[in-house]
Amino acid sequence: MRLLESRRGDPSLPGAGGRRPKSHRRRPDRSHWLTDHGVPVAAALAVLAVVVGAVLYAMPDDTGGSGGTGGASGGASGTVSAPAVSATEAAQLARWVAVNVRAGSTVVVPPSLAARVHVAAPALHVQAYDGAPPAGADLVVVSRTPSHQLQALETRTFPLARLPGDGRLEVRQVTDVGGAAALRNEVRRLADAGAQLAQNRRLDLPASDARALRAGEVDARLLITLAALAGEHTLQADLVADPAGVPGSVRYRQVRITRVDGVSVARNPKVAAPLDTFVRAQHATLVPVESRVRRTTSGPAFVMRYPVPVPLGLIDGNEIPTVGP
Amino acid sequence: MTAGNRAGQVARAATLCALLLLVLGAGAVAGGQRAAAVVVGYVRLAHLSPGTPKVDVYLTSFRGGRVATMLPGVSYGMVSPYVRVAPGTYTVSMRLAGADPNSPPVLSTNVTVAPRQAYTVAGVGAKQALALRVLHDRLAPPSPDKAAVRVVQASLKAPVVDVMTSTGMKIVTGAKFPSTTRYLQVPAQRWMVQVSKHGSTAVLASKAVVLRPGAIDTVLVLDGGKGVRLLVTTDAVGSAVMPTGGVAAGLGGAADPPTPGRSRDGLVAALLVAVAAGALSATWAARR
Repeated sequence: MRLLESRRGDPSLPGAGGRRPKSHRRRPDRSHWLTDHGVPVAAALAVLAVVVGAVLYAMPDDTGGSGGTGGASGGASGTVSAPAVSATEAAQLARWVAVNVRAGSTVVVPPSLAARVHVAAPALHVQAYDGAPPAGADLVVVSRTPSHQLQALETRTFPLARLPGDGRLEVRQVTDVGGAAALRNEVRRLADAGAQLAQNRRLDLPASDARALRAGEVDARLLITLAALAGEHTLQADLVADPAGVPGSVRYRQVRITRVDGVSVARNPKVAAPLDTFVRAQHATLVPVESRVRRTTSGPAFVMRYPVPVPLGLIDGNEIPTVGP
Repeated sequence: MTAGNRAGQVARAATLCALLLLVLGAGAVAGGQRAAAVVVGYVRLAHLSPGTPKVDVYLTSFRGGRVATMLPGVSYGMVSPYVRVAPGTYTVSMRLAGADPNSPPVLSTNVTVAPRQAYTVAGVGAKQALALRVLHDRLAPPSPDKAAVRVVQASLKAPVVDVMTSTGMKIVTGAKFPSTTRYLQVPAQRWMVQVSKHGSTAVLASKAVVLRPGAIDTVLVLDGGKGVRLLVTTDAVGSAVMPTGGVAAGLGGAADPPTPGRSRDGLVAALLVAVAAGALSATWAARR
């Protein structure tokens, strides 16, 4: 037996190539296989590893971003009819115009809002629609010069606000690039930022919410605040979609945070206190209308909710303008 | 167990280990090469708000990664060195320098950093309304014997200005606060830059600016003690790779930018491959 083993170990020994016992014929001896073929196998595996590495290297970091951008276009146009604007909302919108529109600009608003805007923003030239608004769309045009404003009314290149149905006003943005381009840019920015936030390992969200992020369906205020909070804490959260009938270009303006730094909010509501402190210290634009621990359908959670109208231009809209040649 | 059997087992084990090491090494090399190829962007802080104390500015990546990158607080009229950051979108928040670290920083803006691009986060406006705004800086060098220069209008005392050279060449007219011109390519030489109120010929401030070949500079129009003053900062000199003052700091984001650790990864990978090759050679030699 020892001799046979030695011969198996060295094929050059006499008898190694001869007739083998029956058991060896049934089960071919593979004990030498790796020794005999180690180098070519190693080379093949190495080549395979390098090819895999090269493929990984060539893959884009964020495969979800582009898809999200493409799928987001529907979000911009997803306005729905809504109930008539309330007095509170009208006042809020009038203040928004007063704060965000440069003094001296011309603002065209529906007659029901003209007086309020005029009071809130005496430095603006306020014009009410004379008769029906431009065909096919209810627009509020905010332009920097009267000539632009008139041109915009004719060509509809400056839609800065929408009036879905016959009531609610959503002032959207002051822009020089035209309304359609501004909306496309906005959704692309939301989708890009959302895709990055979906990759954030400190923010644990359901897969459906990650898809909404990549689709640009999440309010910029929520994106910014969640990114900042996730920089300080690990969070487990889920987004809450607006109910049907709420106007706006995004579906998600609310988040429920159920765990902070691994601690359940239901078990210890105080764990959410730093989040509340943080959001309440921000500029008015980023302060939610609701930020508190309350009972939700999924149990107690820290809820942050932002109001309409949804401001645009919060993501990457803060570059100092370029002038001159 | 016989000596021959044991030798065969050792040889097989060595071969398996060698294969494993080779695969690991190759993977590490590929990964290391990929990481080394990850590019970064550059961000710096400019304090252009008169009467406002120093502020520390924090960048927090949407992708996660490090909690925050701090742009060190600078005094009014000063510009910090660039810090390298992974490309991506960041929230930008600020807190008075020296404030309680537990006090919440205030979100002020956000910036999307593109690969190999440079940005200045500028604090502008009055103290009561300090705002952070973003300037996209240029890294591409100008033509030989030329310099690139832009003017940033950050003066509240003269909110609309004209900027020209003493030779009468207009750089910008009617520049409102805050605004910036595009970069202009001009002959690399000494220029006398003058600022006046828009439409006026009375010079508010002037400054000799030496523009070197290949340099990219920014002329800042700022409020001074008695009026307007000019400040010149150099954004980059002679290379599009690394802007002036770039420091390796604050690498945020989920993407791992190149770090010294990556060099060690490469070394480990090389060692793994070497050990694997040695083990294979020894196994092969023993078999023969």
